[in-house]
Amino acid sequence: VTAVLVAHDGAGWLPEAIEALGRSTRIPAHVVCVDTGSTDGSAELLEQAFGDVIRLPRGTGYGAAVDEALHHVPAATWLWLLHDDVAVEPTTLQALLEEAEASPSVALLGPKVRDWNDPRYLVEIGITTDAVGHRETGLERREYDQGQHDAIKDVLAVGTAAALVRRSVWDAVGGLDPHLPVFRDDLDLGWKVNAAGHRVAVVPTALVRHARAATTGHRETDAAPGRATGIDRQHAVYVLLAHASVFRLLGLVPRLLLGTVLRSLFLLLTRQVVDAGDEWRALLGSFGRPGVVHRARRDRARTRTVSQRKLRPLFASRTVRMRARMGALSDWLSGGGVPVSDPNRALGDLGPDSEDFEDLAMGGTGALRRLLLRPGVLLTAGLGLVTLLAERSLLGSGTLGGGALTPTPGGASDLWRSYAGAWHDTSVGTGQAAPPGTAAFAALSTLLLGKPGLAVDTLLLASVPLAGVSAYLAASRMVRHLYLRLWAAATWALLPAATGAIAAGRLDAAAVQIALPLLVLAAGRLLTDDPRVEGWWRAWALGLGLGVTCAFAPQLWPLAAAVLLVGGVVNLAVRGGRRQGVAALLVAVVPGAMLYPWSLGALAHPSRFVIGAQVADADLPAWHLVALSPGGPGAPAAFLMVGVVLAGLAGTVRVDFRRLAQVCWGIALLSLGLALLLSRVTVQGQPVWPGLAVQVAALAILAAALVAASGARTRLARSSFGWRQLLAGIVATAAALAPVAAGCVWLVRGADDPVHRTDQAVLPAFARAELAAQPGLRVLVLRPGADGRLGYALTTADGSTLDVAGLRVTSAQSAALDGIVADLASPRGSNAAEALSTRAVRYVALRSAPGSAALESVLDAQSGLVRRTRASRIELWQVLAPSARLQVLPRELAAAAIASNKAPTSELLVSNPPTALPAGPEGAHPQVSHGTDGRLLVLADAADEHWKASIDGTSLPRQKAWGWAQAFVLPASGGRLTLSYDQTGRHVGLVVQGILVLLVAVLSAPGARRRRGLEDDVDADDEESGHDEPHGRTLAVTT
Amino acid sequence: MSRPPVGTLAIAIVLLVGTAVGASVHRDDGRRGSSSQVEVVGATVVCPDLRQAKDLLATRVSVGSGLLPEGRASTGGAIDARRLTQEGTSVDVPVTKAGQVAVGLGTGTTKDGLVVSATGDLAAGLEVEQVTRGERGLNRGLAGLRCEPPKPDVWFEGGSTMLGNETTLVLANVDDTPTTVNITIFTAKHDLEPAQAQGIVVRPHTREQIALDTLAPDEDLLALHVQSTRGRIAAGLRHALKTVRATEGVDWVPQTQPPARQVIVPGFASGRGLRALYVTNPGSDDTTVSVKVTTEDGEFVPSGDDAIDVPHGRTVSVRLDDVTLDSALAATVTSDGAPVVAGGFAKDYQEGPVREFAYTAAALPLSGPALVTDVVIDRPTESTLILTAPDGPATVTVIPVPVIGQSGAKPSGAKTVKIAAGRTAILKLSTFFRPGANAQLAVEVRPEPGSGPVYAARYLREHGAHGPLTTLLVLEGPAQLVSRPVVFSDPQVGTP
Repeated sequence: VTAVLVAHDGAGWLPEAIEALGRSTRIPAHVVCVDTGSTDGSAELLEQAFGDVIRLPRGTGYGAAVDEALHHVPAATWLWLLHDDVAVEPTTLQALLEEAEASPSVALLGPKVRDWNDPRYLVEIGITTDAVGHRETGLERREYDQGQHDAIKDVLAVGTAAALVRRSVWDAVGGLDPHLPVFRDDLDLGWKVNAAGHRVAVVPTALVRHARAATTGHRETDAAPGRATGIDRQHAVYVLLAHASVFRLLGLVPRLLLGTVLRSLFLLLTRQVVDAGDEWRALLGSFGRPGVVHRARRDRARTRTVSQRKLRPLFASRTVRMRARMGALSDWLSGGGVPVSDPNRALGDLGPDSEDFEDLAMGGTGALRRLLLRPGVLLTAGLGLVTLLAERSLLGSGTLGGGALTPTPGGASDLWRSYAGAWHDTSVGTGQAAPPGTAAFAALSTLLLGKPGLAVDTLLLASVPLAGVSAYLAASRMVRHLYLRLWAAATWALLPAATGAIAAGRLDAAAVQIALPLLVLAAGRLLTDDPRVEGWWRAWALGLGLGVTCAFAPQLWPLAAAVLLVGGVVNLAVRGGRRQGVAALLVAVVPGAMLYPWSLGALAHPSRFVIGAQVADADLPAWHLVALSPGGPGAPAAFLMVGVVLAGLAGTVRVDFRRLAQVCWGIALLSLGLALLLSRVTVQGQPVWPGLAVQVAALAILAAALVAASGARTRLARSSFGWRQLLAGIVATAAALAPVAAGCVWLVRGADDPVHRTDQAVLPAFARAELAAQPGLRVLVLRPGADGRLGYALTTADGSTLDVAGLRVTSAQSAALDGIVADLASPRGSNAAEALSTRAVRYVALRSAPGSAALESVLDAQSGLVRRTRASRIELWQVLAPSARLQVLPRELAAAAIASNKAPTSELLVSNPPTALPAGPEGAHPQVSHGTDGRLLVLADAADEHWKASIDGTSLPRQKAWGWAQAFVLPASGGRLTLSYDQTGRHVGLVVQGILVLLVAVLSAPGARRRRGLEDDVDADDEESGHDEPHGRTLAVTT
Repeated sequence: MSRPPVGTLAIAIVLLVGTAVGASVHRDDGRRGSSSQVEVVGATVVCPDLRQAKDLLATRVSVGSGLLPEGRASTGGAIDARRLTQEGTSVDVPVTKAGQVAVGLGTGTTKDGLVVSATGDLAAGLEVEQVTRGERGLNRGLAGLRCEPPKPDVWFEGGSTMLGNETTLVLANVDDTPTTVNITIFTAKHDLEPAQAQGIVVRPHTREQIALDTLAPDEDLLALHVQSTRGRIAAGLRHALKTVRATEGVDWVPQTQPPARQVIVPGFASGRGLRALYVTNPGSDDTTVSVKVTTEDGEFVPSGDDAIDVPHGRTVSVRLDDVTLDSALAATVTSDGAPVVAGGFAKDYQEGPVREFAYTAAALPLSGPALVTDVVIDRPTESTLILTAPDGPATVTVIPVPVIGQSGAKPSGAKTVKIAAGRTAILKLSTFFRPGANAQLAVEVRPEPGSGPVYAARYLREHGAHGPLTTLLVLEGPAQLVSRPVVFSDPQVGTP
C-alpha cells in the first residue's frame, strides 16, 4: 500500500492527522507527503513526521499532487489517498484492505466519514449525483451515526479522503482528472471506476474523521481560485457532460440551460447576485471549453465497459432528492423556524436568554415531548383553549358577519379581481383605489385554499393565541423570568382591544395584535444596531412586515411612521446613529411604497385611513383610553388593565433601565394622544374606533411594565419593608390579575356579539333572484341605529362585501345620498323614491330593529314605493319608477336630466319612460335602438372621466345626468353600444405596486448566508442555541 | 431610587392632563338629536267623491295653502289638481302662492274624485276641504270632509248598515300601481273580516265604492280599519240615513286616530240633539274606558261614564246629550287596557220635519297653524270654532284669510282666543264681521308659542227651511314641519 498525503494550509489539522496515522494498525509501505505551497508550516510538520516532502507550487490540484507523488515511489497494489484534514482510526486501513481482499471486484473503497469536531455526526458514506449534478450523500442534515448505515454497499463514488484504490485501475482510468483540481474529482473518479466495470464500495467498519476544510470554506482552494459554490457547480456540469452518452447529452444540455436560468432568477430575486453569477459561470465554464470537454469524453469513452443504464441504481433518484429537501424543511420547522437571534443584542437586554429554545436544535428522541412541554407551547395551548371556549358560539358553519366585519365574497379570485379593478360598485360606484386590505386578504385567502372565509376565520378567531405566541417571543427577548414572559404574553393576548377586536369583527386590530410584538422587536433592534453590520436587509424586512401589517390595518402606518421618525431623529441627534436614523426613515416609508397607489390617495384624504364600519362608542371617557380600553363591543370593564398601566409607570422609576422605560412611555403617550384624537372625531358620521393606537400604547406600556418587574424582587429586597414594598405589592397583584380577570370576563361574556355566524342572506330569495337577473340593480338597506339615527347601505344583491367595505364615494355623492335617504324616511313628500330609481335602486329594505316599526309606516306612506313583504325578517319595498343600471332617456327626460340637479318627478318619469338596457357583465354590447335626437344614455354610476362609451365605434360625448350620474349623448341612429371604464391608470398603478413590493421583498431577503464553503459545519447552527459543544470549536467559525 | 423620579411624575401628569382634556372634549358629529324638523316639500291629498246632481246636490272644493311662517323665504311651488280618472284631466287651481285660498273647485264635474298635489311652499300648508250640499232627498244635508293624503292604513269610527242606513266606503288609488286593501269591520256586536273585503284590488287612478251592507248587513256602530297590503289608499266613508218619515241626514265619517290608550275627540257642539261618543276596542282583550268631558265650564266625568266596559272587537256608544245641552265639549277617552279607537256623532234636533247629523273623530292637538278653507258667513249659516285645551292654558290666534275672487264684507283683524286649562272655548266666526254681513272666507287657527295643546273643530250649521244642515271638520295643523331622521352610511347595514 502506498499512502499519499497531500497537505495545503492544513496546519490546523495535520498534527492530529499525523498522529492518527501513526497509530494505524497497518502501516502503509510508503507514505508520500506532498505539500502544495502551504504558507502555514504544513510542509515543516510533514517533514518532522515523515522526512521527505514533495513541495509543489500553490495552485496544484489534489489529483495532480497525487500523480506527482506516484512518480516518486515504486508501484504498489493499493493506493491510499489521504488529506491533511483527515484523522484515520487505527483500524481504518486494515478494514479497507480486508474488504478489498474479500471482494476482488472492488477497485475503489471508501471509509465511513464522520465529522471532525463532533464525531456523533455522519458526514459521508459514499456519494452520488442526480441527473442535473447535485451532490448527494444520502444523509440527512446532521444525522447521528447510530449504525443505521453500517452495511457494505456499492456506491457511485467515495470521497478521496482515506479512499483505497487499486493502482492498476487508477492508472487505467487516468486517476483524478486534472481539470478537477478540487470538488467533484472524487465523484468523477468513482464514476470512471464504475464505468470501467469495477465496483466502488463503502466500508463502514473503516472510520475517519474529516474536517472538510475546503468544502466548509475553512481554507482557500488555491488550485481553483474563486468561490467554492461556483467551482463546485462548474465541476458538476463538467462531470455530467464528460460522462453523458451522446444521446443523453441532447437532453442534458437544454436541461442544464433551463435549470441555470431558473436558479439564477431565483438567486437574483433573493439578492444572491454572486451566486447567480456562479451559476452562469459554471455553465459557461464547461460549455465555453468544448475542446476540454471533448477530450474528457473521449478519455472516459475509452475506458468505459459498462453502459450508463447498468449504473443507474447508483445514482440518486428523484425521491432521494425529495427526501433530502423534506429533511431540510423539517429541520427548519423544528428549529430554524423560530426567529432565534443573538440575545445579547436584544432590545433592552436584561439578562441572558435562556432555557426556552435550548432544545430546539437537538433533534432525536424526546424532541416532540420537549417541544410540547415548552412554556411557550403550553401558553399557546392554554390561550387556545380559552379562545375555543370563549368562541363557542362563533364556531360552526356559515360565515362570520356583524360588527365591523363584512362578509367575504365567494373566492380569493373575487378579491383579486376586485382589487385589480378600477371601478368599484359600492354605493353609486367609485374610482377610488381599492384599499390594500383587499389585496392582503386576497393573498391570505389564496394561501388558505382560496377561501376568504377561512382567511377571516383564521385571522380573527385565532388572533388571541397567535398574539400570545408573538408577544411571548418578543418578551423572551426582553426578560429572562419565565412567569414574566408568560404574564406579558397573556396580558397582550387578552387585552380589551384584542377581545374587542374579535367581538366587533375587527380584522385590522386582529392583524395588529398578532404582528405588532414582532414588529416592535425588530424595530427595537433596528434602532439600536448598526444596519451596516446587521445587514440592511433587516430594515427592508421590517419594512416589509410593517407594510404587510399595514395592508390589513392602514391606520397603523401613520402611527408607526411617527414612532419610527421620532426614534430615528432621536438616534441621529442623541446617539449619532446616522445609519439607524436612515434605517428608521426607510422603514417608515416602505409601507407607503408597498401600499401604493392607495397610500397616495390616503395621504391626500387622511379620512381614508379609517376603513369600514367602526362600531365605536360615541362618547368614550378619556380615562378608558389610559386604562388601555378602546371601547366598542366586547371590551371588558375599563379598570381591568389599570394595574398594568401602573406597573408600566413603575418601570420609569427603575434607575438602570429608566431610559428604556421612558422610551416605551414616549411611544405610549404618542399613541394615547392619537387615540384620544381618534376617539373624538368622526368620519362620515361614524365615530372612529381608537383601538389601533391603544394597541400600540398597550404594547409599549407592557414593555415598560416588564422593565419594572424584571428583578423587582431583588431590588425591593435591598431596602427594608416600607411603603415601596407595599405599593409594589399592590400594583404587582393588580397587574398579575389583569390577564386572569380579562380571560374570565371573556369566557363568561363569550367572544361573539355583534360578530356572529350566519348563513342567511340580507334579502329574501325572490328579491335576490330578481336582482341577479338584472345585474347592476341596487338595494337600499335601512336599519335604525341604537342612537335613533338611521343607518343605510346602498349595495348590490349580495350585500356589502369585504372588498368594497373600505371604499367611500365622494363626499358630494354621499351627501346627496344622505339627503335622499333622510327624505325617504321622512313624511315630507319628497321624490326620494324617484331619486333612488336614478341610482338603479330596485328595492328598499328595512331591517327590523327598535324603531323600525315607525319607519315602516313612513315608508308605506311614501309615494313611489310599494311594499313587497309584510311581517318578515326584513321588510321590502319596491321602487316604482323604472330603475336600471343603464337606461336610455327619451328627449324630454334627457333635457331635464342635463338641466337639473334634482331627481325627476314621478309624473315626468311616467310621461317619458326611460328604456332599460342590459348592463350585463363587463364587455357586453347591448343594441341601442334607433330613436330621436337628444336622447341620453345614463349609467347609474357616479360621473367619472374614465367612463367611455361608443356606438359602432363612434365615441359618444360625455354628459352628466341629474347632476351626478355618468351619461352620454346618444345619436338618433342606434347601434352596438360599447361601454367601458378605462383601467389603464389602475393597471399602471398595480404594476408599479407589484414592482415596489417585489423590490422590497427582494431587498429584505437575507440573501446568501455568509458562508465560505459548500456546506455548513455540522454544528454551525448550534452556536445560536447557546449550547456548549464538547469539542474544539476553535475552527468552527462562521459569521 | 436615589434620584426623584421626575420622568415618572411627568408621564403621570401628562396622562392626567390628557384625561382631563379628553373628558372635556366630545365628538362633534351632528349627533345632537337623531332627527331634525324639515319643511314638507310635497303633498298630495285626495277628495274621494265630488258628487254633483243638478239642482239637488252640489259639491264645492276649497283649496288653500297656509301662510308661510315668519321669516321663511319662499322657494316657490305649485298646486296641481286632477280628476281621479285614468285620463287625469287637470282642474285649474288659482292658488299660486302660500297664504291663498280658493273655493269652488270641481263644481260642474260629475262624480269623480279629485287629486290635489302641491310642491314647495304650497305643500307645507296644503289644506283641501270638500263640502257637499244637498237640498232634498237622501242626500239632503251638508257633508263635509277634509281631503286626506293616501296612506297605508286608515281608521274610521262611524256608519251603520241597519235598515235605512246607507254607508259607502270609497277607496281611491292615485298611484301608478294597483293597491290591495283588507277591511276589518267592528260593530256593536262583534268584529268581522268579511272574505270579500280581503284583498280588494283598486286599480291605478281609479276608485272603488263599497256598500258596507254587502259586507256587514244589519250592523250598528261601525268602525272600520282599512289597511293596504300593497300601495297606498285614499279612503272616505259616507253615511246617509233616511227613515220612512223623513231624511235623517248625511255626512262623511272623518278619518280617526289609530288605536291608543288615550284619545281625545273634540268638536261636540252644544245644542239640542243626540250627541254620542263611539268607542271601539279593536284588540283581542276586553277593556274598560272612562270618559272625561272638557266643557266650556270645566272638566268632569259624567255619572256612569267612569267605567265603561268595551268588549274586544266591539263598539260601544256613550251618550253625552245631557252635557251638550249647555256646552260644547271635547271628550277624552282613557282605556285601562287595550288601545281604543273613538269618534263622535252629533244629530241636530232643530224644529222641522227633517234631521241632519255630523261626525267628529279623535284628533291630535294642532301641531301648527291650521287652515279652515271653507267658512261661510250668511244669515242662515253659522260657522263656529270649538277649541279645547285639556292639558293647560292655551292661546290661539284666528286670522281671517281672504278667498280669491270673493268680494264680500271685509273681516276685522285677527282675534286672539285664550282658553283656560281644562276648558273649551267657542268662537263664532261671524264675529269677524258686522252683524248681517255675508262673506266667504278662510281662517287660520294658529296656536301661539308657549300655548298648551289645543284641539279644534269647525262646526258648520245652516238653519235650513226644512231643518238643519250640519257638518263638522276636525282641524289638524297640516304638518308644515315634519321629522327627518339623521342618517349615516353604514356598510354594516348591508350585511347579514
